[in-house]
Amino acid sequence: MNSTQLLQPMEQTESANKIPVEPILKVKNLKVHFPVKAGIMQRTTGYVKAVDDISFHVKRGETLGIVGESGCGKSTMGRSLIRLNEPTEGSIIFNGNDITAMSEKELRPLIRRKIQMVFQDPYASLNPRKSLGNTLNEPLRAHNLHGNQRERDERIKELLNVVGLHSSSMNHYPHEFSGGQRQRIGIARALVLNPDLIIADEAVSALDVSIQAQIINLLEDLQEQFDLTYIFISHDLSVVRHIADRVGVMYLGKLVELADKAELYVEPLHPYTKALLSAVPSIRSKGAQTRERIVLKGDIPSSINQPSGCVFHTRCPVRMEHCKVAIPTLKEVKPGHFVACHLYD
Amino acid sequence: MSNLLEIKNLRTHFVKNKRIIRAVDGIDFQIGKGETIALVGESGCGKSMTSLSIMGLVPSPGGKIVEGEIILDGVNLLDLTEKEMYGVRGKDIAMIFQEPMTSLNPVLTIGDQLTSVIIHHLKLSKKEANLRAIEMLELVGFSDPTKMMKNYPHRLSGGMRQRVMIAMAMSCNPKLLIADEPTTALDVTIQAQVLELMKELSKRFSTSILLITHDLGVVSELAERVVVMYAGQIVEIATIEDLFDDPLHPYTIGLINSVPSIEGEIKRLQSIEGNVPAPGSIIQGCKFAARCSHAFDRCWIEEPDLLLMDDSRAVRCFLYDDEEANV
Repeated sequence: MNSTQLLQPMEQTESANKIPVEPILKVKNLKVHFPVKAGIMQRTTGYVKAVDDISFHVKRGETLGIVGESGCGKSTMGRSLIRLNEPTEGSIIFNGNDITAMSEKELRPLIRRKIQMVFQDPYASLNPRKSLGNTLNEPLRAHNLHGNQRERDERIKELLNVVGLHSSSMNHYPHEFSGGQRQRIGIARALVLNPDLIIADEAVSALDVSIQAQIINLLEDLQEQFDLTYIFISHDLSVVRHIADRVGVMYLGKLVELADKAELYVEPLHPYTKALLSAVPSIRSKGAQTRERIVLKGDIPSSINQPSGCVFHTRCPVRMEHCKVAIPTLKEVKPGHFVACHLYD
Repeated sequence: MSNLLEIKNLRTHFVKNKRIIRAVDGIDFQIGKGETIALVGESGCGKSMTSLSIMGLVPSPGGKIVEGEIILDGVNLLDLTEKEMYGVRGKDIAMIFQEPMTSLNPVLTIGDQLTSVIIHHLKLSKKEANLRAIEMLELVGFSDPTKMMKNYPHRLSGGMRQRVMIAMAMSCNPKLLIADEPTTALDVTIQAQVLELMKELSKRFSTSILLITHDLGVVSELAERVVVMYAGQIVEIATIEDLFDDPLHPYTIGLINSVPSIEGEIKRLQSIEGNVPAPGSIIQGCKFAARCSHAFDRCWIEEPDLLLMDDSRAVRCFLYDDEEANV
């Protein structure tokens, strides 16, 4: 039996019969606010608006890249999609089911199996006292898949081959692996339950470039092999350009632009996206034309005291008077190209 | 261009669990006056240990410079006593690190930390040192330097801290600035600010910079020449144009091809198979042979020397050995 057969979904999900254009994930007006407490009474004095009114959807089989600088809320957004951070408001619809208000028991067969996460530091997400085999066995047991231990072992071995590890590594412990190998384990752990959607949060950021390329290639191969949908969260714009189909740009909890990769990188509309792209240092070679650099002044404002109006107006090189007051909404200015900026009103 | 710094056959070894780890294994390179050189490589290749060796800060016990010379302006730094090194560090050679918070003292104000360096090295009075510190803070782009002097490090953002570190490093007009991953911890828009600043300052004060980084994009922004390291050795030295347009060593080629580009479309990344050899492992022949797609019999037996191609070019690979070409 080859690995592809073994990893076929064990049962057909109901969504498989639906029309393929139906997005796998729909996010509407998602907000995740964390209270800020102060004083001896620990009264709530304000909110960190980590994710503030974000709407988008993810098409089946695509890779949606989410980029932004530290503190823009991209990780919180990713975590809230599987309810690791509870959404304050809004709705998340996965495969036609609204998961926003589900109990943990209801979530289990739907979300815990069908959406998986790959984290930046795989070592931190692996139990140092469990062998690789045990780590991968646990989700299978918890979800009552693959009846007996022999079948489960068989599947784990297949899976290890799929991610490029030797099947004998089952008996090894996390500390025995290098960073790149650990990330392969992290990916194997995410794949073990046959998910539909994988949220990769800075999955390649901690790796050296030569290893990073191996993991990116692996992720691309797996997507083709198992029809996976990815949400790829990263601060590295070059990596996202390489791997994603569509890209969303976040700034201070807001989605400021969302478009096809070809559009976004060639013709960015939002002033922040323009500055962000121009700031990426690129390898200089004779063929490449020199790009004009927009250097933004100042730092990202704190997300506790968000600026009024457009959150970007404090650093925006082309701000207008009413940007300080009116909050721009995400609008479709070209087919498939969304931007939240008053310039395009 | 006369050389400011010459490193000759430097070897820094560590002893761990009774095994010798050759962190830096015989490297030679020069930095000209006013030149910016980048030291590139992946984690564990010895690039940071090279910079610590230059600074005389090799962790001890355990680490030791066992061989070589580090000549700064005609003086071999390895012959200096620890006391004499105090006069060099911070004055002739200054260093900025990846994480500025860990190199700033959290209980002292920015002003205290800046002036103490200036007073120590430039022998100025407290008042003069204050003026100098304010001048430096203004230079690195703080709009209200007098107010900044009274701030504590925790109140600043990552980019601001790195700028304070640069102000401190530049305050005594060093001949050489070692920047160890100066922008790795920063966001891209802040990284752009810091890179612009470093470029401007090095031009203005004609300070030589030794830039240590794994990010080839940053290298191409800042450096004039590049030294590529792998497993404690130099595998290639080239000018920036040569390196990106015509890389010679298979490792350099692999490194450049595995970086996705912000500008163009690449269908599939060419990764380098396998992993960096574990520190302390003993490898016969070329250290890169196990991951190299061009490896042939000789690579597994003999270790290649660093071959000089021309004045600015050197590569450690048998592919460019004339002996091979004649066979």
